[in-house]
Amino acid sequence: MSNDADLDFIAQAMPAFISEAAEQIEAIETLLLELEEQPDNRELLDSLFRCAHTVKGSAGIFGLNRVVEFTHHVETLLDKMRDGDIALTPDISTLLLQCNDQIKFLVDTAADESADTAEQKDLRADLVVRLRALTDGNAQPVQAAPAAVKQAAGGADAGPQVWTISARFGPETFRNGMDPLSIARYLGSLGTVVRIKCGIDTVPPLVNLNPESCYLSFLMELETSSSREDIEGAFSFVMDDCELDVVAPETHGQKLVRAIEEMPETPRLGDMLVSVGAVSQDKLKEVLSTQQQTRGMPVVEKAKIGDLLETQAGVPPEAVAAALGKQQKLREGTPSEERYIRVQADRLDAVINLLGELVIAGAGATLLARESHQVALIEANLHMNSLIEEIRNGTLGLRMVPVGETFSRFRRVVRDTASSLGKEVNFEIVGGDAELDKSMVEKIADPLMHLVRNSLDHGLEPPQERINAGKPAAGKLVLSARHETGAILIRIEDDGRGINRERVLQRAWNRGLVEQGVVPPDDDINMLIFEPGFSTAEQVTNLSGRGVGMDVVRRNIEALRGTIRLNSNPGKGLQVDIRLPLTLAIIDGFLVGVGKSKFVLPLESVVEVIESGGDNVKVDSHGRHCVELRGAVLPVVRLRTLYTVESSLPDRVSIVVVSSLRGKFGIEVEVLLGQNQTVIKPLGRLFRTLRGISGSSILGSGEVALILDVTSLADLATGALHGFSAAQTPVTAAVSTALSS
Amino acid sequence: MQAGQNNTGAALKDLGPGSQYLTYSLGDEVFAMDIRSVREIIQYGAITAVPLMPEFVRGVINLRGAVVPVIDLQSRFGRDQAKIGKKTCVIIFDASQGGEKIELGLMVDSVSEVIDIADAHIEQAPQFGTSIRRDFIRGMGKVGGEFIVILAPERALDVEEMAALAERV
Repeated sequence: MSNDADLDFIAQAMPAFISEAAEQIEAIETLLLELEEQPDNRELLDSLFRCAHTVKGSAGIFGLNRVVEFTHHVETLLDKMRDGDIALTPDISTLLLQCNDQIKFLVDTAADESADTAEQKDLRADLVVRLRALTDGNAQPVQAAPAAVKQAAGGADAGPQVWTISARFGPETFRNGMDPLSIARYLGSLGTVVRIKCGIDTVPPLVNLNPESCYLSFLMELETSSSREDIEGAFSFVMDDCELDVVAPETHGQKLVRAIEEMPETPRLGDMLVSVGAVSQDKLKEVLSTQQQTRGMPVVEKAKIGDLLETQAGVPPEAVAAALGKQQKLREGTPSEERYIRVQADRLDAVINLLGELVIAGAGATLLARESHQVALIEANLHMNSLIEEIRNGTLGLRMVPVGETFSRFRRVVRDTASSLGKEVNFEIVGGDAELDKSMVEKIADPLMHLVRNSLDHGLEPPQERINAGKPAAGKLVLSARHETGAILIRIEDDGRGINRERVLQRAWNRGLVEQGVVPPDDDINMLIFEPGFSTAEQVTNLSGRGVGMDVVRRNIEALRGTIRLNSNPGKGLQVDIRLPLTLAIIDGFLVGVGKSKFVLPLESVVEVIESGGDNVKVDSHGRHCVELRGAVLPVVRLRTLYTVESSLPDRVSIVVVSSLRGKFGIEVEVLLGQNQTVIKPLGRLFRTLRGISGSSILGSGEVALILDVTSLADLATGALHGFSAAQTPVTAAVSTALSS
Repeated sequence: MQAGQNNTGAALKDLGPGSQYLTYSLGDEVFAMDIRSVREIIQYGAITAVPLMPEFVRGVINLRGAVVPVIDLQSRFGRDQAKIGKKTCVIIFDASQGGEKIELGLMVDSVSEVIDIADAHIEQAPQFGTSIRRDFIRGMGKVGGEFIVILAPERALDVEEMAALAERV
């Protein structure tokens, strides 16, 4: 927490923590209830422990000491239960549920210390005592809750420079060789003890009293010029087992501020200040009448009541500021933590689905309007459509989350992985605020993790090797994200050794992925690492190198309609570019027709369209289809043949040139129907084996059109994974030859 | 059985519990299926063929914004594809499996009526003598002296099995 960036990060990540902790707390409750049914289920107990541990751990990161302290006690009990020292009884279960409620309360009020009332503090202390009683092997029922020591502090007559110290010692204090009295004496040497009171409320009845346990607390008012550190230093040996509260001396202004904050909702500034005694009722009236006189003047000159109170009534400025702040909060009606609304994901999905319908209906209405040739109607429809588009963008925006949260999870992974590999690495995150659909963010995390590990494992060299190669000892790994025309570009960049093409090619030959002796272009060699069962690591490490993974990475990314591209610079480094659409729900499409069938091509993959007579498509001696495009041979996929669409071949056909992961190729179609916005409807399980088609879409006319997936269409046409092998069908050979040239 | 429900099947009297079945014809045979899984019946209309699928998958239709696959039942039984006639209908039925909502359309030559068949009037599928796979049949319902094949849609239209068949195309 040394600099502002850290604080900023914590402030941003806080809502995520609260929501995650809420899930853990919910899980704890469910698990406890299940555990009651099956007390011997070890797995449940383990998950229970994990949940509590997670809450504690992440609360620690955010410096929520109250949560950490309290959860620690719960965790200790759970640990004992795991060791089999304590069995779960209904009483313990109840206690744990109560503790869970307390954790929930602490998490909910994490941002607002003032919500933690004395009542809650007492409740918590009571729970802690009961937890301790169990974990210390002291199963005696613990009686009354300790009375509020803290409350006494409020009524104390604190003068300037008087610190209020309240210390409640743990039962182990004596056994640890500590003595509260000596601490009190030491404190006395720091200044003058104005008042000291020994708290004996927690001392149990004589029968239950353990003479070796400490039940005492003290409340002290100390007049001193020492700092907070000095005072707390006196407790350093008992800190772990002691609840300490050191209240700083209050100035007059600070006291007023506190009083205002603790006040129930009073809407008027003046009333607020009067009721805390900052200003008298008479004085307020006087000020108000002064303000009345300025009414009617321009706003700039109009005296503000706050300023008047400060200048005329001598109210301390901080008190006015606090009152104003409170007033502002009341007006907004929304404290800061409510800037987020948690909405069930399926409700949001339902809205987005409906929106999809609306887009379709809008397109239908526009179509009808055009056919009617009524200008006013067409215009009204256009206006409606632009509104629909705005709503669409707004609604899809609701699902957008910054990728930074996912990225920062990798920091730890990078650190641990690098240290286990004996490598040094500087990890950088750039553009973490770029936004992406939530469901995409979840699905992209695993492939990214794999690529990051891969860079660390295979890409970056050990320090000595780097120095020998004239590079700095510490490698560089940059994870960046940025928006690029309707897509997000995620880049993983390292300055390691890059891809060793010879080795990749050798491996590909050995595995039969490429015919012996054939040398594909560099980029194609690089892409071979994405083939199933491919791995060049000489040694299988526990991180990567099993040959599963890179092909899974590619498949996962393609399933998100994304593309992956490698830019390797041997000896200098590797860049992995992942391009993903911003959302899975809607795409901009280009509608084409073949026979009676209609297909949608994702607009982003369309490069150009060539008109050509049917006989311009050349079929060579092997039956390959291709056209000449500006002197180059372009392979053509004939949808009619590939998908056996029944239609008579028209005189003229159009060739849509698309760019895919496998290179540029043409798709021969008969009719061009133009651009449209398309809602993607998944085709469902029945069609899960369908290749070349990523989904379906409903057109304005109500017809269903299939959405082509250009990359898998190229795969389908090239005979999928056997792109470099000998056995090829005519069409596929044409495509693969041209694609690899 | 309550009195009011006897209007369709006089044979039901005092025969114990039963269910309602939707009957439809394929060629010159009559089939029935439990009405409870039937969502609606629509006229056969615009259908989009999906390439590279087995013959029995006729394509997909737009059912009020949802894309629903249509299965040609004749073809699923291993016969020729059904001819499209004036009375050709699509029965939309719920084929949900394991919590996942799946709707399927069944293309049939015509839909006849909804009848009551008492459980006592349903017999096991015969060991032989049927032209369709035995596990596709839930039972034989006796209606007016004739037997109607009651379909077991969870087997005949098992999405997993059909998807596996699609893989082989």
